[in-house]
Amino acid sequence: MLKIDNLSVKYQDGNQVLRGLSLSIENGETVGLIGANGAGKSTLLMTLVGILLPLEGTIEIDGLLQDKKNLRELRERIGVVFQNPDDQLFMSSVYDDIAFGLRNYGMSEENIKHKIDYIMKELGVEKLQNMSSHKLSGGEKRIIAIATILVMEPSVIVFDEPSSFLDPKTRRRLIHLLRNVPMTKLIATHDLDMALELCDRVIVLKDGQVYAQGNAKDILTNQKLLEEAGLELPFCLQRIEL
Amino acid sequence: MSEIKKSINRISNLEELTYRDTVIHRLPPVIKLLMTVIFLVTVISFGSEQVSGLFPFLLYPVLLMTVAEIPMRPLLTRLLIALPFTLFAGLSNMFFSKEAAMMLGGIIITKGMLVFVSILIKTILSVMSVLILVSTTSMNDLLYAMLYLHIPTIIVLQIMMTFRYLSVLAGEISVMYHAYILRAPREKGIKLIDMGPFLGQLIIRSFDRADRIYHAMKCRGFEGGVIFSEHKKVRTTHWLGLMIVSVVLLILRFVNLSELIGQLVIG
Repeated sequence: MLKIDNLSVKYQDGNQVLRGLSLSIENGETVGLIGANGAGKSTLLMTLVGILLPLEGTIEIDGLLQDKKNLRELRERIGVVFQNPDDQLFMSSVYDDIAFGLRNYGMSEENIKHKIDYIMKELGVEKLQNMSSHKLSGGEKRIIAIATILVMEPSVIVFDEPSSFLDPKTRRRLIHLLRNVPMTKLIATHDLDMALELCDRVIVLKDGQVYAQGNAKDILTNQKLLEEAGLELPFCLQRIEL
Repeated sequence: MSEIKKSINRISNLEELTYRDTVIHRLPPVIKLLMTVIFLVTVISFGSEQVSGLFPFLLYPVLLMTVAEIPMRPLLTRLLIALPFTLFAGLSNMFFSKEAAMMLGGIIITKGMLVFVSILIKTILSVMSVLILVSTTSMNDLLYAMLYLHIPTIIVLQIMMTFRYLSVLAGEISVMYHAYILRAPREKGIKLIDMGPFLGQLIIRSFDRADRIYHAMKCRGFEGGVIFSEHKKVRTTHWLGLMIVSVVLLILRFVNLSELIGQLVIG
């Protein structure tokens, strides 16, 4: 379970992005995190993994309270898929990129190989194992970036704009993939259609606070609420006149 | 495709060669690294006018490339990049050192000529041996080999990061260069007056990108250690093999095989 209580985050330049934000996510839930630019989505994700430290408030993952001293342990429990896969794939080969986290946590090479073989087969990307990451297509990079986190088996995975840079077909493949990810998922996205398809619950952020939250269908079909939060209805619900 | 993109691809093409499975590829990285260092030291130790003794050493790259099944083209292309520097250095000797050193079929061979040929062969041998090493050993394995040889971790870490960030930096340059050229179609490159802001922006963007990559690394447990594959065990047979190669190289260093063969043929 992920529990955030009264979280406030301020940048060094004095800009306070999160203001007393509280929320909780149950195990196995898929939650969409939506909001206009600057609402605090990315800041929240970075704070969850201890890249940014809170001014006040607490973050608890499976009973472990976030603290400067236990960030390593915390990062074993929560994985982040960054918005740009190029930021996440920095090793010389796809194999080494997926192995990176496991090696950092001291897993034996035999187990690493076993786990990588399994995850790549599951995702249908076995052929990419020895390729250089920068030679992959956008969709392949995204899948490998997800694999680098899935292989570590965290209890919570947060995704920062997972459908950005993807063509419609690859986006569809990603939605299928995410649907089959068994972990707790927090998906920060502007792709409201994907959130509608994928999420059990949606949390709307505005000015660093939770503006609304509830069942994905209830929230994402509420035009007034979305517009108040600087958003609009998902494309699939908009009437398009041709 | 821009030259920058091509350069990135060239780096990764060489890296992909390391995934082959041959006797040379399977050798422990420490042995390969030491073998290369011994070869380089032996080659460099030849005097500037000792040319004939260097010829047998040409067998080393030929033999290794054959056994390791490394294609000629990618290595020769990279060798060509290094050669112009050597040619300039060597040619200057030909002009300044015209003292006769020997006669070859009625032609006077000057000391400058000998130095030129010596520099040329040494460059070919050195560059090829290093290229063979990086074509048969992954960067992670090489880093491990360096640690095994007690090279300080901080240096190994710097090498690892530089290697990783090279393609990131090249990618940033490529994007910025394209953005510049699209708005300055009459220019053949970046104008000198724009170079300052261009480089400044490049540094800022590189810092930003490096920051994001570092965050991604931290999120997967990176604590400043060197990440590499578990090392291949170095067996006694490997050390024995290295000793044999070293002895052969030493013999070739002090016994001029070319001269011996020449004497046998001529009588």
